[in-house]
Formats: sequence, C-alpha cells, structure tokens
Amino acid sequence: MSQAERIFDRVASQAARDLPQQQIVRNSLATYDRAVGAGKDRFADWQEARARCHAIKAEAVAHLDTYLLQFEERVKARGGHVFWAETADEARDYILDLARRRGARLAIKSKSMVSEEVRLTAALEGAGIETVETDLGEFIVQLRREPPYHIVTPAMHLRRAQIAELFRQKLNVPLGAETAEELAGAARAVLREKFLSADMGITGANFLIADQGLAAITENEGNARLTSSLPRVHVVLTGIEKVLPRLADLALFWPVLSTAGTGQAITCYNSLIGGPRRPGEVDGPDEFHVVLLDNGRTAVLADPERREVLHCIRCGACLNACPVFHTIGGHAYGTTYPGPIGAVLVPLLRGFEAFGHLSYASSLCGACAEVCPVEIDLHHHLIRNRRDIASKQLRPSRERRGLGLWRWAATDVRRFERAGNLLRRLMRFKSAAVPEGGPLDPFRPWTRHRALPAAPAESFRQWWRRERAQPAGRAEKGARR
Amino acid sequence: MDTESSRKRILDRMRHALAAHPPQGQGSAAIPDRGGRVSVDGIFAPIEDSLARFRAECEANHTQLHLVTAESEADCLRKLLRSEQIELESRAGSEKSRVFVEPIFVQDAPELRRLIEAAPMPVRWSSDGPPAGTDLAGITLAEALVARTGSVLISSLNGGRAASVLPPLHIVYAPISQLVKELVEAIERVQASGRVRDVSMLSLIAGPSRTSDIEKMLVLGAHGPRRLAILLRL
Repeated sequence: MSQAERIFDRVASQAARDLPQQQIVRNSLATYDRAVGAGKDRFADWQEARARCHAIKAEAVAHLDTYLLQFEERVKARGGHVFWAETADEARDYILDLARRRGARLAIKSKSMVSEEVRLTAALEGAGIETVETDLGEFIVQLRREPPYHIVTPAMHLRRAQIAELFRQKLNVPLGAETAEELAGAARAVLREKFLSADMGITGANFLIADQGLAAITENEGNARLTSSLPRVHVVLTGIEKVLPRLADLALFWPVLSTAGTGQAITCYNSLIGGPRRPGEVDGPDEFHVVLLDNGRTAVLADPERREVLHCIRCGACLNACPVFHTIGGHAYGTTYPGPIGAVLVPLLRGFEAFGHLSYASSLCGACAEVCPVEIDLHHHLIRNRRDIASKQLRPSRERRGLGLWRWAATDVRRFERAGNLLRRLMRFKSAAVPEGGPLDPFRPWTRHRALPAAPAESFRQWWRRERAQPAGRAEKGARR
Repeated sequence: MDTESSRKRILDRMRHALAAHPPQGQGSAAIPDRGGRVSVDGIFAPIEDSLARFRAECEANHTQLHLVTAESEADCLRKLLRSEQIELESRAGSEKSRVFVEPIFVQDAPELRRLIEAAPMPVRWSSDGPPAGTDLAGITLAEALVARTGSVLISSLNGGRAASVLPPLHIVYAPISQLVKELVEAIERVQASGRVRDVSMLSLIAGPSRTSDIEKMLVLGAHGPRRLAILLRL
C-alpha cells in the first residue's frame, strides 16, 4: 500500500463521517447546480456545444506538436519567451532562476493548478521569495497552509465564521467583520498592497491560442488581470494540452467553460495575453515567459485509448457531480487534481503503483461523463485504469483471492446457490453472536460506521421457485417482499 | 539547464505518439469550419434586437448601462463620478481606509478629450503614464461590445492594462456602432483590423469584478472595480 493510499484511507474515512462538513459542501454545490441549470438553458443546444468542443479539442490534440510550435513562434514574434519543461523540477527551476535573475523579492500568483502540480510556491518561498496567492479562495487556503479543496472553488469546505476567525488571527481584521463582503474587502486591502509592490506575477492559462500566440486566462476577481499587468515580469505556467487552434474557438470555449465551471453566461474577465508591454503601450511587464509543462502528459498522448483525457479544461464540473467527491471531499485525494478527472489523470501522470487507488474512488455511476463539457468518457477511463491495475497485479492479494473465490462460486449455478446459503447463514449467526461493529465483527470496516442490512431468509432463486409453484394469479397478488 | 534538449525531447515524444497511433477522424462531431471561422450556428438561439439583449445582459451582470447623446453625455459622466465620490467617502468613514481625492485616469483619445472638455475635471491622461492605484475612476474606449453576454472587449491600447482593473470604477465610452450580437463577431472584428496582432493584451469584461469564494455568496468588487458603467453613445 502506497503512502498516498494510506493517506487516502485515513482522510476519506474521516471525511465520510463528518456530516456537518459534507453539509457545507452540499450547500455550496446546491448553489452551483441552480446556476449551471440556468446556464445550460441559455444554450439552444448544449449537447451540440459539447460535441463541438470535443471535436476542436480532438483536433488540437491530434496536431499537438504543430499547434504548440505555431504558438511558440507567435509568442516569440510578440517578444515573449517560451520554455518547454519536461518535468515539474525543470519548470520550477526555470521560474526560480528567472526570479533570482530579476532580483524578485515578492511574487504574486493568480490561480494555477499547474503551479500546485509543480509545487512552485514552496520552491519560491524556500529561496526566500515571498509568494502570495491572490485568488480569494486560494489566499484563504494559503493562510491555512492547506492545499485547495476544489480546482475552481478552493475554500469550498469552509464556513464564513471559520474564515472570519482566520482573518482575525492572521490579518488582524477587527472583531465583527464577518459578512462575505467585509471579509472579501479585508483580503482586497491586504492584497492590493501586494499587487502594487510585487516584482513578479505568475498565472496559469486556460487556453493557449496557436494562431495568435496568446494565453487565455479566465477569472472573476480581476486578480489575474492585476497579476499580469503590474509586476515587471509575467510568467504563464501551464500544461502542453491547453492549446486551441484558433482565436475564434474561444467564441465557443469561453461560454462553455463559464457555464460548466460556475453557471455564469460568461466569466467576468476573459483575458488574452501575448507578450510584454509593447512600444507605445502605457503599462505591462517588460518580460513575458510561457512555461509549457509535459510532466507525463506526452505519455497520455501516446496511449490512443486515453488521449482524450488531455481534452480536460479543468472546469470542475465532474467534481461537483461526483457522489464520492461529495462524501470524501477534496483533500482525501491528496493530489492536485481531485474528483473523477483526478482519479483518471493522476494515476496516468504519476503511476499506478502510487496512485492507482484513486481510480477506485468512484461508484462508476457515470454522472461525471454526463456533465463533462468536452465529453470525456470519464467513468470508462476509470474502468480502463482498473483493468490495467488488475492486469499488473497491483491490487492487494486479499482482494485478488476474494475475487477468485467469487468467480469460482459465481460461474456455477449450484455452487452459487450453496455459497449464498452459507453466507446468509453466517450473517445471521454473526449478528446473533458478535456485537455489530465490535472488534470481532468480520464486517467491521463497514459496520463501524453503518448498519449491515439483515440477511434475507431466502435467496431470490428460492423465492422465485416458491412463487412459480403457486397457482397462477396468486403470484401476482402475492406478498412480494 | 539544457533548454533546447527538453524541447526537442517533448516534441519527439509527441510526434512519435501521434505517428504510432494516428488519430482517427476528428472526434464525435465534424467541426463546422469556414476558412478559420468557427461556427456557433445552432448553439445559441438567434438574437433579434441587439440593444435590448445587451441591456438585459448588462443588468444581469451588474453593469450600469447609460444610453447617451452628444447633449447628455457630459452630465451623465458627472453624475456617475459624483456618486462614486460619495460612495467612497461613506466607505472611508466606516472602513478607515484612505479617502480617494485623486484625479480620474483617462485613456488619451480624441473622443475622450472632447468628453472631458464638456465636463471639466482633474484628469490624468494615459499618455502621461500608467494609473496610480488611487484614481477615482478609469475612463476608456473599447474595441467592441457583445450583446450576447453583455460584455465589453478592451485592449491594452485602451489606456493600458491596468486602467480597466485598478480604479474602483471603470467607465467605458463607446459608440453604438461597436455593438455586435455575437462574441465570434467581436473576435473577427479585432482580428480583421489587425488589432489582435498589434496589442499585448485583450480582455473581455462582463460586469464589475466579483467573487463567490466565501460560501458561494456573491460579492461585487473583488480585486478589480466595484462598478462598471458603459456610456453607450447613440
């Protein structure tokens, strides 16, 4: 069992029992669901929009090398720099070198999941460069020294009162400041100073526009706008899969991302940045860098069955739809990308040995695939991951033996019936002899937190035979259980 | 760090991956592509009255839309700025933050010079440098207005990058000829005029900056402006 799996087991089992915590998340998701329902109604044909987004992403991924080279050439023509990072280390080192070279003392960041993936903040802080998250949710979880709970709503798991208390402790916000507006205002005041004095701004990108050499950034707060406007250096850190062929593709992707991400018709700021300040422009950074991260993505590209996982636009819709995410929360996954997309992608990027267990954190209900705005067949990818994990014999031997036994019993009618009888008898004996949920209970992992259903008196086959034996008519009126 | 070899290795891996398993078809739907144009036909219901739609969307995203004429525009601008001054002073009283008495930051453009001439006030022009962070408002032109989403497309040539995001009030002055129905038309406009190539930044703005990061409660005025007003010149 990997370290990550042990953490998963511990955190998931705690979270699954924490009903008040789940209520906070469910309240937040109820607001989201209402907004997204209304958002989809704004489309004449939401399903067609998804299909076209899927097709455009497929086209981008099918010519990934060509589009990235085009993007690079256009960014260079605009006076920017492009760095290709094979690994998280390379991406981090490049940005760290740049920060040192420019004598940066304060770096500001707007939301970027890739920066979480490469652990950029820790690296910059380790080098003595103060690094501040400027998205309100990210700022809150940074103050708590916690990873984001959700890729779009990082502080989704927190109550307003907890945030008020946090701000009182860390920001000396006076007692009594506790409306959302007051708290946001307090963060704004603190961060405004940071914006005005930062040396370096770091953002992610939602899309890279190949035909124009532009990085597209979607946000609501204006923090990415400020991060890319005020400091003298701007770095865009993003994955190679974010490329789109044409600027005009955004006429589809911007509304689709907003709708799936928050339910808004369009997000407040959708910005396109293509280089440093131009001669004749009033402001803007004097240096502009794009860091393109591979970190395992080309391996996903090499697998034709999994290639479409690279279509993901990180809208968070699959997390919001996932009953497992609702129950175990965002922190149990222990990775940058939680929820269904994380359960598919992280094992592919970081290996089945350490992260394969995430592909089992799903009931395979398919809600994720249904809401995915780029039509990624998420639950089937989970099954594919499980198939490969099983064929590599990476599951615990106990599970393999158990499934072997099940197969032996289930592939013969008589054996199946006998095994069923035996199991029902055992269950009845157990509930009479052993206190449920106690240390001797063989079903303890289940019964510790929930009741085990009572064993039925007869099997379905027995019931069927008995009913069929009755005179016709009685079976229909008969006492179906 | 050997930057060239990382680049080459990533590109080699991509080429190898795509050559070993060439993509079949283009996904589940054909892309209606007409010479680099992406069709959004059939995706959205058609818009009949651009102005009515724009007005409704602005209301939905908390943009203050004012239809102005040559006679009314100066007065409208004065009222807007006065209300902002009052708002900021009342906030300064309760929040003990500093009172903004700085001038207004304005994109240096003939249209806006005319506007300010009609409504004289202390102004800093964008040609004299970037906004200071203490300006009462930023006044800019736009590249296009989009009826579908009630949004404004601006570029770094509209007074720079910070003019539309640093002051607490952003005022956009735009002639009604800039109003288009669809986002795709706005994109085509800036692409056809060469604007996309000539600027370092473009931003499609829909309403004042906002956040819902605390218990999903909407707060207007996150890091950017608390108010966005459009003076739409008829």
